[in-house]
Amino acid sequence: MTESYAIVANDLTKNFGPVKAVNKLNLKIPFGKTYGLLGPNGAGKTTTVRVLNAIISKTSGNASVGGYDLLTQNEDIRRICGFLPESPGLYSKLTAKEFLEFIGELYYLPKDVISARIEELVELFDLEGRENDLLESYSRGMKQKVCICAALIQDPQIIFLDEPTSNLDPATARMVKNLISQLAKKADKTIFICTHLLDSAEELCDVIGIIVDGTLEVEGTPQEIIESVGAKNLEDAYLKITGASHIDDLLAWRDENSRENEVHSKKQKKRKKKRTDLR
Amino acid sequence: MTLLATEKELEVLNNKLNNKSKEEIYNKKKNLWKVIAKNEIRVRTSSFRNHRILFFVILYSLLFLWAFILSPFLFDTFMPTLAAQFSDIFKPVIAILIESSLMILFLVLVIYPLNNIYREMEVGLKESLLATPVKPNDIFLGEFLGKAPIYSTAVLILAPIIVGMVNPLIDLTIVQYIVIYSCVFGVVYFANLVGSIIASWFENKISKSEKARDLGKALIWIFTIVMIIIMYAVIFFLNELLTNPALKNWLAFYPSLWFSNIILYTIDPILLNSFVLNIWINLLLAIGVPLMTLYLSYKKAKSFYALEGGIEKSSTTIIEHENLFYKLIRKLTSRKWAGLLVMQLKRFLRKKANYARIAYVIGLLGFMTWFISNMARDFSGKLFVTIILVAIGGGIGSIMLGHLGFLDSKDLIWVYKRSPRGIKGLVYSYLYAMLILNILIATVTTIIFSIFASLDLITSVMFFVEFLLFSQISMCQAMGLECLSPAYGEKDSNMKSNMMISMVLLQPLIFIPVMTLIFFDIDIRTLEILIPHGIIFLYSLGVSIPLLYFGMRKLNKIE
Repeated sequence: MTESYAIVANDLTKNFGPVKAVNKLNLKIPFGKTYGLLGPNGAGKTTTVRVLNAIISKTSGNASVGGYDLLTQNEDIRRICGFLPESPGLYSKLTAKEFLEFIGELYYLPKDVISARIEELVELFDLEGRENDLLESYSRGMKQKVCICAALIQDPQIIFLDEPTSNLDPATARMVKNLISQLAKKADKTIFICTHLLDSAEELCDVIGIIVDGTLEVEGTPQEIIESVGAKNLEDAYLKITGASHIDDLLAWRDENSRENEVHSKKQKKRKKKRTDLR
Repeated sequence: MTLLATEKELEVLNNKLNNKSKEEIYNKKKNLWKVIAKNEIRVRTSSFRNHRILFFVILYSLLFLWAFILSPFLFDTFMPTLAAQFSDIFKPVIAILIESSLMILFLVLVIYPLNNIYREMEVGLKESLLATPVKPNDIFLGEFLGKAPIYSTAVLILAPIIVGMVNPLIDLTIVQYIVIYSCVFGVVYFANLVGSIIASWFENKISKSEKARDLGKALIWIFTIVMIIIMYAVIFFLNELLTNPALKNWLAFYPSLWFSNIILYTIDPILLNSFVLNIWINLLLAIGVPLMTLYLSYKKAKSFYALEGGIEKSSTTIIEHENLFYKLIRKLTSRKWAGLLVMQLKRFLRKKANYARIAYVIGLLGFMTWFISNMARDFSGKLFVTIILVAIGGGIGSIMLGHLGFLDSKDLIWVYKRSPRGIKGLVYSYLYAMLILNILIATVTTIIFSIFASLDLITSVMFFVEFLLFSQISMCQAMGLECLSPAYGEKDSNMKSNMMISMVLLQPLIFIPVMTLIFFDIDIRTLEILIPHGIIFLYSLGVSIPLLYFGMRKLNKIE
């Protein structure tokens, strides 16, 4: 149906009761591209990723991932996709190695392949020496690293990353960014990133979509988006599109207060003067 | 190997992998529940992760030792004598004991998986799992069967006890042994299945909403209350049950009875005469219902193992104006504390589980008061009952409520610490809030005690004041312990250890007054009242105040 595109969504909608979390989303992401979905909190980014990964069901519309239909071939979609959730979800009573073995087994990987991949990922993410420690002892950033390893363990064709660098230290964040760009360029992976970090999105993504209240407001290359709204840079464009650029108003109350205080103190001074004059 | 390999390397590797894995995928595809079950065992035995096999070998060796050597030996030492001594009622008493123990076991095992609701919801973990090819029914079946080795220990602990009780009645044949073990196995696994279904349903449908999670916690308390009621009912209404065995027909729907009836039938078919369900219906229910439940839950696992319910945000809108209760509290309290006190009360009372806790404490104390009020017939009786109620009753309430002071407030401690009020603001405001709850508990206890022990007004007032004072002192003790090692979660290990310490500190209160009355011959009645009461108050103050003082000092230094 859609072999030239890795992800296709046609009027994809997801409602939670009366709330439209994703509203008639249309996407066409070619294979090998890195797509960034940006948007404010609660805009519907995570729900979009969950629907596209067949974790939750859609309300209406249709989508295909990796050429597989979302409704009828969701098991195949899960098999070819790697997924990094927004919050690192791990069994705290397992070691990193045990957890990755478990995830590998869920993807039907042979044991020797699992061991080899774990070895490689542990080295890549600088977890050597800690792989046999219980995950409960890991810091948030280290847990994030294990989650990224879990998302990559089956060498997926399409990778969904929900806030991949949010809990990482600068060095690891840089390493993840490099990894993402190499996965896209060298290994021809399709990567779908949800992020708040505009500089990361600008650096990594071929195409960016900005979603507000479940609706995809704008889509294009970072440059196209900047030009479309006549902004200086992506941050400026983002603020214009999401309607959050009222920073000047934020501190207005201080000016009002200071003006009120001025008037008040002038009045007081006048009163004092009057009193002293009367005396 | 693959991720950062060049395209050429990648192609070769992928081809190799694809050829190899296609076959394995086909073989493994239907067995993902095994992977989940294996993982469940790994998670549950993580403390022994370096010696898992050795752990199971030792555990099951000990259990078999208990089942086939220790237990028969232990029961043979006294059961035949008891059977001979109470030969006329021995059989029906054993029947009731088997029924009630299986009833309690069923309830305990249903409650156990519900404890998961206390866990912080691991949405990320669930997302990670659901994003893999594993199906919800595989997750459900795997998680259920993964608990099997742990639950089997319950079978090997309890079944030998039933065998030990029954053995003096009849010489058990191998078939009867198998029937007893199978029935206990059935109760344990069916209870686990029911508990897992309820827990999964709570976790997935409603547990992401705080309000609903609270309801889940309340459910645990309700089950616990039911369990205590069953225990007490068996103890207090044993005679009633012996004379009217048909009473249990009211509980014909309760699953453990289907299993216990099968055991009773193998002991003596007459024991089942008064029961509304005959042996065949019991057999049908005991085999059919669990299998049907397992099949349906496997097929319908998707409806209770999904993220759908969790994402839906249910918010509680609090009306802008405070209700009368909070307004009254504000008026009655000094301006310095009113804000903090009302905030603590709101925090506490907006959790449904806390209502269940208060009801639990009131229910337990009410029951205890009613039960021991019968002893308060003369002066010494009244004195003894008053002391026990004040000391133990007040202590129990404080243990149940006083240790919740820092729940979910790990970050709040820092907020208080940075503020000019300091830690005192947090600790004292919680103690004030608990004082209000203690007034309620003390009022109910006093009313029940006054009615059943026929107390006059002055004695009732004195009891109320004394109960309230003692409860508040015990509350200080609980808070002191919490300050020393704060517990931020209900399943926190600190919570358990603090509660245990509180229990231990409560113990002398049972013995001190009794010893005083026995060893000191006091002729003057006023002294007879004052001395034991004085001693328990001095003891409690002596323990609580230093604990609170040093606890707050330690908390102030927290880094």
